[in-house]
Amino acid sequence: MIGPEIVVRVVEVKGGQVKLGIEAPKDTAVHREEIFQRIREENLRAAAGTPGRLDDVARSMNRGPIRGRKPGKGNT
Amino acid sequence: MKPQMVDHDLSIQIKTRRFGTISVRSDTVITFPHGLVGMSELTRFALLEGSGPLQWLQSLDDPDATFVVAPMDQVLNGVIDPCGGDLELVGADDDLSSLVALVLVTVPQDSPGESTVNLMAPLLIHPDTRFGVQAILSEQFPLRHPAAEPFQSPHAVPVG
Repeated sequence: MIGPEIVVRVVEVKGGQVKLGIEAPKDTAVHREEIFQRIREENLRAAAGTPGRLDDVARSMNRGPIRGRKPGKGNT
Repeated sequence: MKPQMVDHDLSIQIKTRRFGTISVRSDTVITFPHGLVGMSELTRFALLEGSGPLQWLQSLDDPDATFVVAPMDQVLNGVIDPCGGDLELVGADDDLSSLVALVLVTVPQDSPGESTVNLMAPLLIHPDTRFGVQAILSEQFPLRHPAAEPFQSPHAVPVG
């Protein structure tokens, strides 16, 4: 247990690997350290690479907007 | 005699490397209580006009920290599922529709056409509280998605 609400369980031990399960309240974010580090590094790259002008970037993005889609709508 | 409203009272002067000293209205400051991922010291930001859909996100805590952001509007329509704690932090409870979602854009030096957007960890900002959080979504959302290409949501498969 970590605090009163977070439970860490060993789910499986197999071939030298241990699989852990983490039970936590819905409001608690559970992320692997590796994911956190990758996002941190990308944030650093994003801050380091800011260009002098945004026009070229904006132009390339206007060709194809970033777009998610509603689930359940026809995607044919 | 009418009392004079002095705009300066509402503004703060911030030194930045990119833009020099800028004046930011204090009621437009966006607060990220936890900072960005791995950058917990960056808690206050201003959005500045950029080009087209792009805006600058300037840290008010670090003059060197300037980001490029793009809107992620339509991704909020039911396809992302930030954790409840993140929503609570910005004051949105469970109401996603009120949030503004932005993605950080990474622009490689000398090749802006190869810019990527970080869909895995978008910025969610509540327009009323002006609180924000960098949410961490599932790994199905790429960390580096080509900015020029539309994103097909992994959740876009029709159910049933």
